[in-house]
Amino acid sequence: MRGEKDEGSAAGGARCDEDRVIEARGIRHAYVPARPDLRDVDLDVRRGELVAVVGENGSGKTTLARHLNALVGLQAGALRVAGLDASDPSTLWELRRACGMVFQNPENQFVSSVVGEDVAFGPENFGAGGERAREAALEALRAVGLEGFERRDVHALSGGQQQRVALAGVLASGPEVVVLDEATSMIDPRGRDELMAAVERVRRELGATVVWVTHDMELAARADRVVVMGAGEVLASGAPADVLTDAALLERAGLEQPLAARTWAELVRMGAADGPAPVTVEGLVSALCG
Amino acid sequence: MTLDKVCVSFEDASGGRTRALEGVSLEFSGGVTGLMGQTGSGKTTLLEAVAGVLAPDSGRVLADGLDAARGAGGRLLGASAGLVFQIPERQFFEPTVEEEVSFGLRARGASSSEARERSAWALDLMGLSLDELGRRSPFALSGGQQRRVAIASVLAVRPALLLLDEPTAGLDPRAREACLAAVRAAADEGATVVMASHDANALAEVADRVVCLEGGRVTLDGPARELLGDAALMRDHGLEASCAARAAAALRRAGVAVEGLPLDAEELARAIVRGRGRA
Repeated sequence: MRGEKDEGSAAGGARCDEDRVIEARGIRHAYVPARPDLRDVDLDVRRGELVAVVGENGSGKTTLARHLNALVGLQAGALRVAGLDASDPSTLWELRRACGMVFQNPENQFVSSVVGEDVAFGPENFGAGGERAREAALEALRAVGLEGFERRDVHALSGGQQQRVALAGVLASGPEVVVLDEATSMIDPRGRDELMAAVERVRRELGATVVWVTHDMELAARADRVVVMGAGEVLASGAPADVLTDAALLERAGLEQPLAARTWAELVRMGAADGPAPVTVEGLVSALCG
Repeated sequence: MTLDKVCVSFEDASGGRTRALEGVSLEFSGGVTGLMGQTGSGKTTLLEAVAGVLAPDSGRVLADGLDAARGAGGRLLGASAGLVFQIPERQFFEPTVEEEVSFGLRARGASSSEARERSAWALDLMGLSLDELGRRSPFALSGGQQRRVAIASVLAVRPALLLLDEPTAGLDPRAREACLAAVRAAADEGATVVMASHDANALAEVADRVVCLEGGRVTLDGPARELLGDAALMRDHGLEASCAARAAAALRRAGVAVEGLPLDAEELARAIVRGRGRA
């Protein structure tokens, strides 16, 4: 993900030359034997894609996300992430470096109270020397817009800054894929916007592939692709303009359409609009001004 | 509940004091009040001061005119307030969901059958089943289920003062709607509800009044529609209006006439149609 300048550095991470960075086939999983959490899940994610995974509580989206960096072990099916076989214990650590996760509560994933030390922990843990780990940490902090924060106390930062530190901690190990699991649900709107801007920057500058598990349909509307989960299955996968305008599908999944699509549906019902529904506010503005 | 010039501070890492609330004076009497503000603005501290969990450095918290820091006022507050913390797993201590939800009822002397009935009712309000989850550990539930169990455990005692810290965070749309319906029902039955939330859309659905905090001070206090429907006002205070209000502002900037202060998709559509009619 980091490109040629990181060649050979501890922060360089695993690389996958194929277009498909995540390839899941028939994943089945159950925490309790009689209660499956995932039922034959297939998922393909292409390099550089931003994929939003949406679904109601208990739909299996977090369990799926935790498979991607082997926090949850593969019970059945096949999964390759960044070219690495998730069922192969010999490449487990390489896979965890190739796919980093940012969780809901940033405070749960800090290992040091000093920003620079926390961000450098990943590369140090993966075998980088102190100086190389420090360089990787500085580069990751720059990527998330927190240059100069390395000596700050993580607990004195805002929620959005803390989530960006968590994201930097993941980036410092040079992953191919970043998975964000409800990473905006505990931070304020300014923090959410900061994190979204940081993720956009990381995608643009580092070519990161992003899987974003979320209940926020406005955020999902901005993804390249939306995967809808329900009862442990993938119910749909497609462009936001197709998936997020399918009211029946979203109703079945216990989800609601983004505001622009709901407003458009109401305008259509009132005879005040026709044509395909927009899914973002910008799309609504274009549709009404066009 | 009355807060009279309440100040609260905490010791910070350098040994100094950080002021979390700076002379806050507010009254809460019925209805749903939404508390908004950026992280660190003092929302959680305010809820905890109202609940009597935190003692103010100065100023007074009054329950029905009685100082909540002393005998009768403290007992009144203790008997009437229910607080749902921001991170629900931090408030669990019982081994099963049923014991967790019924704890407050049992502590108030409810019989076991009454405690079970009220627990089932509160869980049902939150879209959960006592039969299904009652014997499970609250610590083994999903994040969304934990939050709903935490809210149910407080709703079960029907508190006269319901204090909620980010109750909809991490909830899916169905659970969120169940939560907001329960909050509205509690207020309609006479409870005073104070709900801290970053979710302007949730507050647009249930709040009668919105109070905004910045740096431990009250910066805005007014009817929910006037604040949550005004994207520019909220942005000027570093906050976010409802999604519909922000869309209305974007449409107006693009030259589309939008009437009034819409708070949801239906209102926005009607406001657009009305705007076209006037144009």
